[in-house]
Amino acid sequence: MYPNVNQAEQFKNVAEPWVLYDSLVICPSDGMKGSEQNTTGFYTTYSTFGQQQKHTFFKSRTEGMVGLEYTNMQSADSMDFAMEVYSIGLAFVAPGVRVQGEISAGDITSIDAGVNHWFDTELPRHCSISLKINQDILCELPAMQCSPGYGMTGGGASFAHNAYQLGVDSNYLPVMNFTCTQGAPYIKNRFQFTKRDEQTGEIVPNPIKIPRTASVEMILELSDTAMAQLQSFNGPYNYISNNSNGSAIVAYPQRSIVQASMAGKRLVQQRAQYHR
Amino acid sequence: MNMPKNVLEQWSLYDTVLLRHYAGAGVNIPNVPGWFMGANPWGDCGAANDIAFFNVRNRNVGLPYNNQDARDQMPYPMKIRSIGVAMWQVHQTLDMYYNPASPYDDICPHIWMVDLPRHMSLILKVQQDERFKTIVPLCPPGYGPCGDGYGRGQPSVAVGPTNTPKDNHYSLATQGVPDSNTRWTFPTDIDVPRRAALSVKIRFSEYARDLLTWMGTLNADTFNADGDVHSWEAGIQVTLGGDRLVQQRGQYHA
Repeated sequence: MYPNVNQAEQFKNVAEPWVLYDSLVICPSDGMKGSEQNTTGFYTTYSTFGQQQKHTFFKSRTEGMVGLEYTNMQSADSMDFAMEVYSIGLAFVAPGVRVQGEISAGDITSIDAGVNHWFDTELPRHCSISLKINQDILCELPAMQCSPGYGMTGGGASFAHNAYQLGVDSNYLPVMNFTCTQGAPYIKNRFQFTKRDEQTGEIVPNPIKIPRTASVEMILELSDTAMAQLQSFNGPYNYISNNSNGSAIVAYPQRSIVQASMAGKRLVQQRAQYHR
Repeated sequence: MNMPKNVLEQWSLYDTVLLRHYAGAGVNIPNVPGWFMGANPWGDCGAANDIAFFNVRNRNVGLPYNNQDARDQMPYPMKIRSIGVAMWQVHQTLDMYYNPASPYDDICPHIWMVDLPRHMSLILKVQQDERFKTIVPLCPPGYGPCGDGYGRGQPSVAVGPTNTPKDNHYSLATQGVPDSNTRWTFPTDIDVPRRAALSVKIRFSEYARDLLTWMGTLNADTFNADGDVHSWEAGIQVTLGGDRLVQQRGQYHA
């Protein structure tokens, strides 16, 4: 309370729904934009990503550094506002166009049809995720249990071409497209912080309360298996397709993401202007 | 007393941006602000700084695409309870009919629906206040086709003008489980006053914009079994759910 100020005029925090998110990115160097290549958590190969056992979220990147598409943190290492976190989620996202390849002079020189699928469906099995507020670890989970609650859904995968000769120099262009999420992408399907109400016995939300300026981290830890496997891969490579008149194969770098999110309410100053 | 009285009425506001590739001659291409209807819709979309909703179009573009009465302000107060973004492409992804004069494309629809949303952000503004900033995948629409399967649709039977085998494949994807509850729901409604300026801006990351430009160079067309050329369409639709406050109609109570 401020002295000599009416209670009605006191500053007041209001709770505003908010999601904090942050991303690690793996993308060939010619797909990195601006200063992304020098940003902590942006890797140009699976191998360099796999050389580090622990990767952190909410400690290194800001919206100004990598764009709102990958994080909405304003400060790299502390909370700008108090927040009640109701749920957390972790998404492993490789391109749904499963085939990635390299080209040279308009011809395919290498193809990989397995790593993208491994990234989404197996790598999460070999990782853990922890939530740390200041010095306290408040949650530890197998990564696959921390469903993001969002993502693409659909079905199926198959090679879309037979061995019919297509493309340049009789290379045929293999295509396999797939849609995948860890857990059904149902918005409530995230790891929720709950407790049992002592009076009613029902399960009710029990958010983690994070003070302003607290240090927050979600820590992704890779197992030895995951590290070894990532270090054995040569990519990532590119989307590949025929060019506009079928005379050559063209390519564009593919980008994989690991994205952590915390959803809840942030406490901010009332904006003091809305009245219907 | 005979005072006018506002009542809460459940309402959805929606707006759509279309990307259309028109095939064939003599087609009347509509001139709608914010839609990408030129020769290279993918590339034009990638060249845009951001894509705006709710402050560009009104229902004159067609009720399937927009239900706003006014382009640039709210005609009624509204309590926004949820937001969703749907992205779609033609589900019969493009034929693999090999013809050097009419190339095909197998990946752009899938990139649009499945990969690109991962590289998009969204900002909801009321007047000058940014009330919600997030990534597009966190705002699933809660509707869309639901099904299964993806694969080659035809055996290698010689069909078509040059008796070469034709294959179709179908891609069915939705952002999030297409259940009406699967939308981003605000724990407390966002109140929007009457006459307020309301907008949602969607932005692609620089990587995504360059990817769209690359997709634009692939110049794909769509064929059906007769070899006829069809236009294709992709879309982004933003929906805001909640209640609007309107004058009580004074005659109907269920």
